[in-house]
Amino acid sequence: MTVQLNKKRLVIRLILVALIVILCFALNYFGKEHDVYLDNMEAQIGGKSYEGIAYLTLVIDGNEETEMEFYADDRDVVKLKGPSHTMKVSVINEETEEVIKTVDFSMNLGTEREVMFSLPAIADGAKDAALPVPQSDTQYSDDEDTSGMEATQP
Amino acid sequence: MSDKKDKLMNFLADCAVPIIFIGLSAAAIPLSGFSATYLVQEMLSRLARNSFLVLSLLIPIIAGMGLNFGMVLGAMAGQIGLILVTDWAVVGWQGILLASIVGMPIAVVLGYICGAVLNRAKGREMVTSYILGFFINGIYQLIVLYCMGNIIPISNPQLVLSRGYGIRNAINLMGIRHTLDNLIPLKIGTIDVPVATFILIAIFCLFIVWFRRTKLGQDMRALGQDMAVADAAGIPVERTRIIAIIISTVLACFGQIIFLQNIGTMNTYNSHDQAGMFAIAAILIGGASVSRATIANVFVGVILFHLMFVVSPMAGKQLIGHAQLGEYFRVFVSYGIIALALVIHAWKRSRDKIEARKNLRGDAK
Repeated sequence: MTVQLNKKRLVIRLILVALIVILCFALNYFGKEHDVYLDNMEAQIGGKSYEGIAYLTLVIDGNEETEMEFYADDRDVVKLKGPSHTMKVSVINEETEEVIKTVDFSMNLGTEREVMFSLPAIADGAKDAALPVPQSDTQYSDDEDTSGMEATQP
Repeated sequence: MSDKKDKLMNFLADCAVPIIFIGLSAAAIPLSGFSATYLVQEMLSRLARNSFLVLSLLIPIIAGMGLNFGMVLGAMAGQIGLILVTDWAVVGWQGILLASIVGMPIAVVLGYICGAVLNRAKGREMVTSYILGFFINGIYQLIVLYCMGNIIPISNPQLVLSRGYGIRNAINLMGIRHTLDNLIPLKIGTIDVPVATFILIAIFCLFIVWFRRTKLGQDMRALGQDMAVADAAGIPVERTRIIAIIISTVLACFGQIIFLQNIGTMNTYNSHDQAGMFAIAAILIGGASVSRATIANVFVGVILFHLMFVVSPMAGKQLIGHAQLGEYFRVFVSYGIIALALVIHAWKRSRDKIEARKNLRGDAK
């Protein structure tokens, strides 16, 4: 009887541990922050070449307040939380402010930490607009991080 | 007449520390020149930031183990969780929850070690847990300074020292900063109220009230009153004491995560150092003693302690011309108050013993 009870308890505990592990993976997947590089330079994807667009605006996840502007040869980075996002690219004639073309694009970032997309490819309606992420040359100095000493006091 | 005098003496002995602090604050607030709105905002923010850490001290006090200086072990576990979550780039409430889940098993193991050591040092729990904190701090530094980046993979270059292993001195927690505080936004006039954090603290308070009524809670109270009697009554003394310390350590782990999400920066090698000291100072200032503490003591203590934190530098500047002197005074008072509370506790214990002996003797000469 006691052995059966202990066995049942052990099974329940193992199930709970498994659930917590699954929860950890889910939190990691849905709470991950991605660095998304947006590139408006000349690019070659799948043998097709794309030219930088003179002027375009970009809205991510329908948030008009954080609309971004890109000129030819611009590159910017945004931090996005979670795996799925949408962006709306509007190619605009800067002089007349006439919207020439609007393209909606869905991104599935998965578990990638950094991704880069070619805006001319997206504007052209390409399904695959991903580019290799540029290697960072930034050297972080050990001396820079002395801040926060006083900030961590209660 | 003598009875009234005794009652007054008892009341003063019980509330001496809060009375001193209320007096000091009453003198320092007008000198500081801060507006009421500013002070209310600061107190709300600091109450949300620190209450959970201070509440984690209650259970060991109930179990008669005194003030748990070993809560820094839990703080270290929470920080390891935060370092890993920052490396994995998990942000928002998911980041806080993940850091808690990662830190919890580490806190359980450290709490078990602490409880087992304290069982071998019955009656000297406070000094033992204080020194144990230093010992585990050495292991923490070894892990963070040498193992992280070497044995434990850390991929974020912003976290790792330029030599390729070891964690930097300061970690930016921008991804989780104020996440919990701003989860349910509420603004009353110009004052921001961190509703979600207060809800969490309220749940914790309810947990303590409920826990006291459970079988385990009653066992702990029995232990706190007399360990020998509890043992004779069949309560598993050592196991119950270990559970008390494990619960306290795990809650301190959560408390440190809440504390650091409010601050937004983590000082890898120092943040946990004074977590125990400040939490203990706060609960003592609230009127708790080594053997008795309530939820009300926690909140009164946090408010009075942090009121001094906020007003004393400015009051010092206005009074003497140097803000630093006010800060020195505040540090002096914070540590002095721990000594004072311990002295008052020792004095009360000796007085109670004399009283008990007198009662036993009765009228006999």
